[in-house]
Amino acid sequence: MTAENRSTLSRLLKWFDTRLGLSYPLLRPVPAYAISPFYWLGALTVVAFIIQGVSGVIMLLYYVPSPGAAFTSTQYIFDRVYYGRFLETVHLYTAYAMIMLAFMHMMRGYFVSVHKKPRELMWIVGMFMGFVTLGFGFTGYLLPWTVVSKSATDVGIGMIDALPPQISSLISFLVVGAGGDATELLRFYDLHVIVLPAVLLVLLTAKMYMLETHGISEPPGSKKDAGQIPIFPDVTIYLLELAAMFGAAMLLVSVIFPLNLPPHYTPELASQWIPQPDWYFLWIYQILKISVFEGLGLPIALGIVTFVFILIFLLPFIDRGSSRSIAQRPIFVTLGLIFIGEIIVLAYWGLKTPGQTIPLEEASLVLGGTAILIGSIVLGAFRFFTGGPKRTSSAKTTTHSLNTFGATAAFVIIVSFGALAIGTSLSSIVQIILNGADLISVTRLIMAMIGLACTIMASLTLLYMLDRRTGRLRTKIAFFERIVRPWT
Amino acid sequence: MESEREARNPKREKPRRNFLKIAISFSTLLLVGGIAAIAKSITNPAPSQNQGTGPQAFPRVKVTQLSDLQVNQPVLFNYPLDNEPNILVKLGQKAEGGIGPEGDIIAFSALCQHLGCVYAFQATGTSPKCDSSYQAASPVGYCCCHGSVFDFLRHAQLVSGPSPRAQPQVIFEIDDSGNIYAVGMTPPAIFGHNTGSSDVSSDLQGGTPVT
Amino acid sequence: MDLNKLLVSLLICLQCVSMIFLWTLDATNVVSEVKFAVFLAVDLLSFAMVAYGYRKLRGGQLLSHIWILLGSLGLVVLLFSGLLFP
Repeated sequence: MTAENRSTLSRLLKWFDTRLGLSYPLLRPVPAYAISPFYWLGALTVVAFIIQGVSGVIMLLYYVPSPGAAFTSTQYIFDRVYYGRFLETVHLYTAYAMIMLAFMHMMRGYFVSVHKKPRELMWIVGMFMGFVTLGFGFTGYLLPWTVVSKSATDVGIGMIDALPPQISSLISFLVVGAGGDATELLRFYDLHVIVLPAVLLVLLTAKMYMLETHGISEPPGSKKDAGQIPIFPDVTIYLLELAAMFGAAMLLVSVIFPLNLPPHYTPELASQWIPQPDWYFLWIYQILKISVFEGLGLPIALGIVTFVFILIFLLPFIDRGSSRSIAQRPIFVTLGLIFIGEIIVLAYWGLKTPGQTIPLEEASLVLGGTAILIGSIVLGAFRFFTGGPKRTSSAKTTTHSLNTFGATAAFVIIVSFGALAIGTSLSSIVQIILNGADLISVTRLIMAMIGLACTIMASLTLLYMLDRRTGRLRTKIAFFERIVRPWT
Repeated sequence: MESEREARNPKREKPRRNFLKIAISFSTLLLVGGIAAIAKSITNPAPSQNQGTGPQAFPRVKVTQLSDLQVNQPVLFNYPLDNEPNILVKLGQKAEGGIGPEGDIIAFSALCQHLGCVYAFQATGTSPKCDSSYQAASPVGYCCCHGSVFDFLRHAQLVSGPSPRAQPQVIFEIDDSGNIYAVGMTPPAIFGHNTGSSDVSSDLQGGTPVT
Repeated sequence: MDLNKLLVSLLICLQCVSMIFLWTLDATNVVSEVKFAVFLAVDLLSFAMVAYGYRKLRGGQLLSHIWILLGSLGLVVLLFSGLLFP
């Protein structure tokens, strides 16, 4: 603390500080390396939530949650309320931003391994918060009662029936109530406006408490004695700075892409409408559109999606390695990038194929090919950046004089074969689950698994051969040596 | 750090710190003041509110008149609740379960049994707007969501697509004046009302009955 | 430091102007929604730049010319959009 300052402003600020306790060190100081936007993606998600709250509360004054008045009251907000269209647009785009920021926050945490000890429970609480955020999107989408929103939500609710009866009846009761449009809309409204915000605030409190306990995770290799920056006023001002820029970005997006209200929902209009979920659910919907999951196979598809979410939930207990450095976690980094790649591919594909069933072979090729392509590139990059001697110009020449065409052709053949093997095994598994095991399906499954194993071996052999020829090989492996020696 | 700088150069640091404090305080006030201008939204009167309610037993509801029907022109109507749309069509050819002098008037629930999408009637030889490659070989219901097709000549049985079952059919009565009354529904239950159950009483739950 | 003081003072003046616009816009006009968004963005961006200056100068660091230039350019574009278009 410096010597007493008698200026009016300082006295005024001190008066407030004494009473509000702003400069009291309630929260721990922030390390200097954390003054970067990537450390505050979670905070920006909260800022988005606050914007949603403010714009939502204003719209709450005019919106009527009944099938007869939902659309007209929304239209009223658009046409008659001061800045109504602007509020609706900001609300929509900030919702999108909130979901995107939450996803970025999660993936950033995944790549820098924040889920490791002692922050495992922070990860799990964060995942619940992610679900709540998606729940906001799902429940809010129905409220305008347009043909777009009602059709899409009806499809989503219809999937609840595909779950096991004990689960589907409970979820159906919570989400839809006793049935009927009026109850459904009121339930969604209650969830969106009361239940989910309350749940999110409770989870946020828990996460903030744990953050305060553990502090901001340090990047691997950072100095332990990094400078500490007090929360008030420095970090607070920084957060306000980020929030102001985020707010300005949302405003500009709202101005450049103003929202137009789709038509009111009527059964006549809905019968000619191809329902599509909003972009953040497109990837799930695209999986459900794969031909093998149609009809009775729907629970299996939902099971697969649930399994993926469970894996992400339990990540702290799966990724048990002690290292947090990206360079030392090639498998998990690769899996993370494959996950992002598949979501993007599925979502874009879903956007381009509304209402169309996707043949299993096509799905296997696209998804399998994406996974193999990303996996090969990322693992190759790992080998390039972290394994073997530095490249010299002669080594570069050696690389280029390598049989590039042969290596490329081999890579394409392996990718295609791998996609076919993945598709066939998936199809066989679904057939066995649906129709029971018989000789043909079991044989197909075994053959497909063998094919998959061969693909993996071929990929590893190709990589080993390339390393060997370019002199980057660190350790000779007898098994691969026996295979590649005749070719080198 | 600040006190060190101030100790080194007090004449320069003190006014600068004061200026920065004034600047950020004033800027924060202007920011809050600017955002508060959105409060101008809160000055319009609210629209009136209405809501629908409750259930009971299969009502007898007049849907239309024989004389108003034209061949292959569907009529949409809600029955038995205001949130349960149905498609009524005069097919121009005899259909199983059909009423009227030619036995060609049928009606089925418009909510697809697959996932609850509203589907449309397709007369023979026509194609739906969402799938021009499909041409109806007979009068059908075509669901644009996932391509379920229901045969309107045979109790809306499933022809193709992912729907697990046929559509519920509306039970009609015709009086001497040619008025067509809906008086009940056949199993299965309408989608969203204990879907898949053969107990049609659940069609009466969760909405306002039509009159 | 004089240049920094000038910059911060200008930004605060800009915030004042935008706040006056925000409160005096004719809210019933549809076009006002666009102007409202633009001037609120000016207010937010100006605050962000003042906060950036506060943070850096308080820590004894220099302001990045690139960020100042980008921010100023953004403000100029926004102001012209808000003032020139009807």
